[in-house]
Amino acid sequence: MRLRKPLHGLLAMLLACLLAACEKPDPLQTTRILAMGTVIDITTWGVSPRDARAAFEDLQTLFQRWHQEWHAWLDSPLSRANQAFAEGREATLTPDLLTMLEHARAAAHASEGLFNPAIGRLIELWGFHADERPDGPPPSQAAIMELLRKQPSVDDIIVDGDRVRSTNPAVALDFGGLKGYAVDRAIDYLRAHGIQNAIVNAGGNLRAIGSKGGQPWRIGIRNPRGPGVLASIELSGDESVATSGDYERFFEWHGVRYHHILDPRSGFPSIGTTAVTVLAPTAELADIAGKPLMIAGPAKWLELAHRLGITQALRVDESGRVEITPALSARLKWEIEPAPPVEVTAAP
Amino acid sequence: MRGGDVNGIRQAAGARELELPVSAEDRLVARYAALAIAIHLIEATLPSPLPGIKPGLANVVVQLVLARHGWRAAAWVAVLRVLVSSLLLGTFLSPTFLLSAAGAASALLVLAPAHACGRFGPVGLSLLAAQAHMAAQFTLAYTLLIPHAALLALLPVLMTAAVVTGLAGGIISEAVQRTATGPGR
Amino acid sequence: MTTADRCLIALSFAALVPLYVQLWGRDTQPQEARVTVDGQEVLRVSLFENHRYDVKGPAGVTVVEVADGRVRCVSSPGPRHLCERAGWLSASGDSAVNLPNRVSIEVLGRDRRFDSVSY
Repeated sequence: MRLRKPLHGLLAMLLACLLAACEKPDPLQTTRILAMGTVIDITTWGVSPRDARAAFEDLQTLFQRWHQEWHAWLDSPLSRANQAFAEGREATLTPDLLTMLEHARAAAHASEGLFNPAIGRLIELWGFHADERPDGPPPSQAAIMELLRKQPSVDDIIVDGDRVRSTNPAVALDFGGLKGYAVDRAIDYLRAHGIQNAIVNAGGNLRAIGSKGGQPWRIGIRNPRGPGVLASIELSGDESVATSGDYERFFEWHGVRYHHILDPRSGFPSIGTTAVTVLAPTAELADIAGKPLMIAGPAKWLELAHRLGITQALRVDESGRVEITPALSARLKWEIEPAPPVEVTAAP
Repeated sequence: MRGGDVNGIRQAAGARELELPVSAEDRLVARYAALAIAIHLIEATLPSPLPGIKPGLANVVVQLVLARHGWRAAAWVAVLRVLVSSLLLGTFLSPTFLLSAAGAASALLVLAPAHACGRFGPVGLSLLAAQAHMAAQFTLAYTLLIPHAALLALLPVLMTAAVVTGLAGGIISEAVQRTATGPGR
Repeated sequence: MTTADRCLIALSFAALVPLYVQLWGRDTQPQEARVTVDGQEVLRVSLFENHRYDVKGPAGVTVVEVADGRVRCVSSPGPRHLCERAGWLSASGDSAVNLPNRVSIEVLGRDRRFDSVSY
């Protein structure tokens, strides 16, 4: 029975180690903010819990302010501008909104209209401007056609300093890259406050800076069909990832699923692509690029990615097959068993 | 042991009404089993630092029988030890008994080829048996009794205990086999 | 002690190392869930104390249930019930959100498989 004493000692030692490991403050601090109609997750590494909490509180205030300033439908400078466009009046935009307008205009040109931030009325018609659209009938073909005939375009908007007006009353701005832009601004805020290792993720559009004590950040890419994660990628330094998918916002009516990514050519949800994931230098660009790449479909998406300056992207089609650029393929790890059928393709 | 299966048990339990032929091996097994059961009962009264961990000195007896009389005899001693101890402790067919039985069965399964190959001494055999015992107990506990992932955190501690007790038991076995004579001789 | 015995002893101790690394080095098991309303933590509960909680938010009451190491949204206001559809949450980083009621349920844990997920 002499055995028992050393065993006790060993156990006590092991338990002590375990407890000691638990008492260290976690270098990872996380918070979750509900704002801008989405879930915003913020992670910091190597920041004391107190400093992290202070930064999180400031960001909460900032996101809520941005939500109020940039909302396309509630009373905001943007919704007042949309109202002014409809009435042929002039309106004033904030510097942030002017910047977003310029970026959106460039993306609209590069995508030959597949990215169209001026179709706010179409989004409203479908009901996708609400946080949660209840199941119900889709809009009538006639109503959609009537809106499309008016051909709203960002080129209808004339900018003079901070004053804007539209030559087309059907124009209503609904920026596709709003969440991404907010993520970039939040990263700017963190950096200005000395936080160099962080992730800001707004509704799946994320930007990661720095690392976890030299270890890269591990980012999952959601499986568009089924639970969990399709693939993972390691980010370090400063990179952004955004995914657009038909599962994000949708409603069902008579067994048909209508998702929120509307093809500006047909006025209906895009078809042929389930999800697109894009890596880009900024969250805004990653966010903007996703939708038109989904709309472009199998024939055109690589060419469009090239024109938008995107070299790392993947596209999942309706059968679960994946097309991926060589640059992204080289660093991606599949997280589902078996791995999906994959085709590595470069832009023509 | 041929035809003496029932006798073995009855003999060990001290039943005398039925006069059935009792072989020398039966007596041998019974004596060893009695010793193992006694050790098992003593260990059962001692407090355990963690459920599932105990010195396992009863297994030293099994090791001794294995070395002197081969696997079949050792298997009998192990089976009788589990069965009779559980009856005496009132744990027969309870989860404790199932765990004990699974552990003993797994240890015996591992000992058969390990003993037959002849390369392992008492220390190696004891170590293998202890680890097999613990692995089987844990698997049973995890899959059937407490299918909770929190139990997994205990596995490293339990396996460490198995290695330590197995090693200690093996060293004791080796010392006993070198010096003492068994109760059957 | 035979050579095989010595090898086995070394092997047995060596095999313990990956076992500890695997089961202790990484996170063992999520222990807690956090419920927030509008970013403010209102509840931090052990996943092993089975209980139902009524969480009040701006749109009504979200019922959160903890059972056997898991947590879920039982009912919540809003037209689409996305929170309920998320089902049981058990792994570190799993979460469900009810936007109308500003309620978020997250499983906390040191070791999340991913630092963040793009969706």
